[in-house]
Amino acid sequence: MSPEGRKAKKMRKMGKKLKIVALLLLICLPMLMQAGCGARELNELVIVMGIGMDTDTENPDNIKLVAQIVLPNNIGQSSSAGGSSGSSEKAYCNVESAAENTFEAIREYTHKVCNKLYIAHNQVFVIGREVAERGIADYLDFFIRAKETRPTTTIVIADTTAAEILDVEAKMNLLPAINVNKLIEAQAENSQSREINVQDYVSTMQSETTSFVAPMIHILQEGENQFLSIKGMAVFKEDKMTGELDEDETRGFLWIKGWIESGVINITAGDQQVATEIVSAKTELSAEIKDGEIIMNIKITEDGVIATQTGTVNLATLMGIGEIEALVKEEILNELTLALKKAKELNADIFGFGEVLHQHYSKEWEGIREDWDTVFSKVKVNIEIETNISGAGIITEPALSEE
Amino acid sequence: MFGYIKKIRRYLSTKNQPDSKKEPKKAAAKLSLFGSLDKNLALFKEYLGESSDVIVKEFRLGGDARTRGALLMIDGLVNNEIVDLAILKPLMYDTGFKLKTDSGALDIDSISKGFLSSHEVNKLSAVGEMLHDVLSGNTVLLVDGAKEALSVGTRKWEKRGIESPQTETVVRGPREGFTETLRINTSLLRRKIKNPNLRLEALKVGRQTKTDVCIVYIKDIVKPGLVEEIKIRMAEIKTDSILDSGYIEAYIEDAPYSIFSTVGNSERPDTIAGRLLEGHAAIIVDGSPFVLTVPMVFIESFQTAEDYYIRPYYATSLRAIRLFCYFITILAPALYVALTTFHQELIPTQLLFTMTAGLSGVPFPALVEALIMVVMFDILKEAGVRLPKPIGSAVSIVGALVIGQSAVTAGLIGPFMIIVVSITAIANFVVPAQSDSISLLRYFFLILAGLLGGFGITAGALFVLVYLVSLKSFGVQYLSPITPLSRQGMKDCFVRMPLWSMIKRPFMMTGKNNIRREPLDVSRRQKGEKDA
Repeated sequence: MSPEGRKAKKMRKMGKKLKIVALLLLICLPMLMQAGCGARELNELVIVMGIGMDTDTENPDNIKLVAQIVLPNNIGQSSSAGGSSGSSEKAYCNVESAAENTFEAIREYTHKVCNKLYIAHNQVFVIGREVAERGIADYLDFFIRAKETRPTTTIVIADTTAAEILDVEAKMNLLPAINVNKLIEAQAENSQSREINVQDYVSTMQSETTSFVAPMIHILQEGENQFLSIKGMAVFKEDKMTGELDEDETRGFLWIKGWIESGVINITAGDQQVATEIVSAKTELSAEIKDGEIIMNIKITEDGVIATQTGTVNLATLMGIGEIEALVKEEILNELTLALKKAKELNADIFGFGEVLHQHYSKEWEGIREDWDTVFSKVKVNIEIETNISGAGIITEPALSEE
Repeated sequence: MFGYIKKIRRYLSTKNQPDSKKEPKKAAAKLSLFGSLDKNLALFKEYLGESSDVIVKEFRLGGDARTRGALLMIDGLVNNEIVDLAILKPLMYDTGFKLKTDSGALDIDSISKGFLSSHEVNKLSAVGEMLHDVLSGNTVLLVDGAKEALSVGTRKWEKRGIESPQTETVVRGPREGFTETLRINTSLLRRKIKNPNLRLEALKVGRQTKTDVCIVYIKDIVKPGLVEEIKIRMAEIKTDSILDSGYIEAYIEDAPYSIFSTVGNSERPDTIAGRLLEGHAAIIVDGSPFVLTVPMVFIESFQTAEDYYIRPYYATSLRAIRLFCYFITILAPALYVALTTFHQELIPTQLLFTMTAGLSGVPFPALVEALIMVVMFDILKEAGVRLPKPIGSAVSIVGALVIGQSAVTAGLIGPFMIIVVSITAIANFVVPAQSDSISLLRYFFLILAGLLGGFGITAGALFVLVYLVSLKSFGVQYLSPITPLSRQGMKDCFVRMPLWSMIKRPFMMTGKNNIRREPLDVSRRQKGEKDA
């Protein structure tokens, strides 16, 4: 073999060695990197389904948390027990903890339950009214930072305390926290409140002008039974709750945001009641500055069908539909006006007008941004609504018809 | 550490080399026969010893019965009828026998031409040749006074007939499989490929066993240089025995240390014929129904003969299922462990509750739990393979009980682990060609998942992928046609395109003659229908 050949062979051998070393490193390095965070066995997890936030009555400086912890072994049992809730054990327990800050409060739990809380499956943050009025940012910061929190976890503001909400037994074998979450999700069907999650919270807080809005949850007492009900939305100025929107105002707010997915619009045509269903809706929002005056253009296109009507007169005629469309338009306009009025009253830019203006007039925005709070209530709004009734279900005339 | 490895490797390589000192003398091969029958017989007995199956039949030739002769054969390897009727009878009873030429010398050719009614008669002069012929079932005729012997083809022994193969059964397609006999196997191939270019090159391997090995290829189609390379590697085999084609595989592999096989095998003549026509070469080993093919590519393990006999859409879906099962059987236990110990957030919430409830009271971490079940499965599998059939059912009953509900009720493992192991076990049998590497990879990934979770699985998968890419089989990339990518090759990879669209042979195999089909023209048929 020539010397060059031998050299080449030696080089190949060295290359092989290097390869092996590289492979060993490839295997060992990640092991070292991972060594810090160990594995957790499934049956050692303390699974948290909902976290409530309240003020501590004993020490007002403290933060108080309520964690809804699942007891998986009882889940199957309570379902077989059916209605007789007395015999079956609860599938959850609510554990409270109070400390100076959220992280400490979360860690405090290790004094009460056998492991760290596992919040990756947390469904909902329920914020008590008092906390909401005092400011929610301090409470939520830890959870936004923690890698376990999902950005899709919903945020809901309790009319009472969070602990009470999380204690309302759900029907249909759901855990209270899951029940709350499902209730919020169902709001898309009537568009009188809306699901707001951690992601929404973060992006709203990053905006200089937009106010945060979150759904409100109430407890309804019916005899011995307690029910939860989502109605309206809480309006925040910065991170403090300053007011509430009722159902109609919320609908108006959702129209402007373009967040309407479905819902009922009631109108009275002559002496007949008609309920129309919103099938689809589209909102276009644009800003305009004319002669130093800020004008927001809102253009709404709504498409609906007749869901039900009273009386015997067939309304699904050309004339009838034209009339219904006009009335629906009037109703939407009414909702919009209510929402705008309330927002100006609270001086909270819940619609994100500031952001739209910023996008359209970035130069002028520099002058406006400082005193947006005073400008907002003077913003003129230009509303254009187009409604369309595209159907009347699978019948046209009512079954009991005059003709 | 590398020093050690080197030492061990050097030791291993020297071990395989033949020990020249112990080599028996090759005298027999060169030694020529004597003119005297007695001397020849003595020599024959000296070499063969007193084996009970050796038959030496002495007799007198011709009508005058003056010349002595002897027949040498091995009982059980020869056809008795031919020996008695085609050799002994004419030699003993035919009169007018002229043994000697006019010059007085013994004429062995006249016996061959005039009296032996057999089509296969050879003249021998060396003792070695004689011994070999006798041992391979021929009958050797020695005549007193002749320095040459006649070898008559009388081979016949008990052998298994052509049966349907045990391993690669098909629903649609030929049902014949290779047998242990080399000649039958070559005839099966000849019947499939009636082409003068089908070449069968015979070799003998194994110092003690002298096993017949046959390299089969189609001249013009085979990958250029492949046959030469096989011959070089075959010549490097220095061993005393070849008992199965697995022995040859171990010697000619590109990566002898690998857990992946780089030599393919099949029990089906149609599969082998198909591979020959793609440019592979086959190696048939006498005594083994498994015929080797080289080069082998990874994707071959996912192709079956039946893929080409059924419609392409279904064949493609079957390939997808096989690939899916390959990943499932390797990764299912690892994914279960990774999910339950590292990534619980990926489990749907409701499922998490039931899994947690099922695991309550299970004392082991998920990794141990999975290891118990995977080992249990391997034990059951092994027990089932080796056991005689009547006892086999007992194993499956006990296995079903142990693996099944009892392990859960006893609190040893969680109920979900059983589902995982069942899926793993069933998927395991979908890709039989890779079954040996599958079991090893399963443990590899399981342990990685237990230590590092999904990160470990990803790192392990990359490691295996890099390794697979680096593998070669007789100069062909193991992962081709995926990498290096080839358009023609992809027509028969994840997707099995219609046969008429696979116009060229896979590029990695072929030489100049790579067009195997003409494109199909269907325009006439459609027109014909319209006219009618």
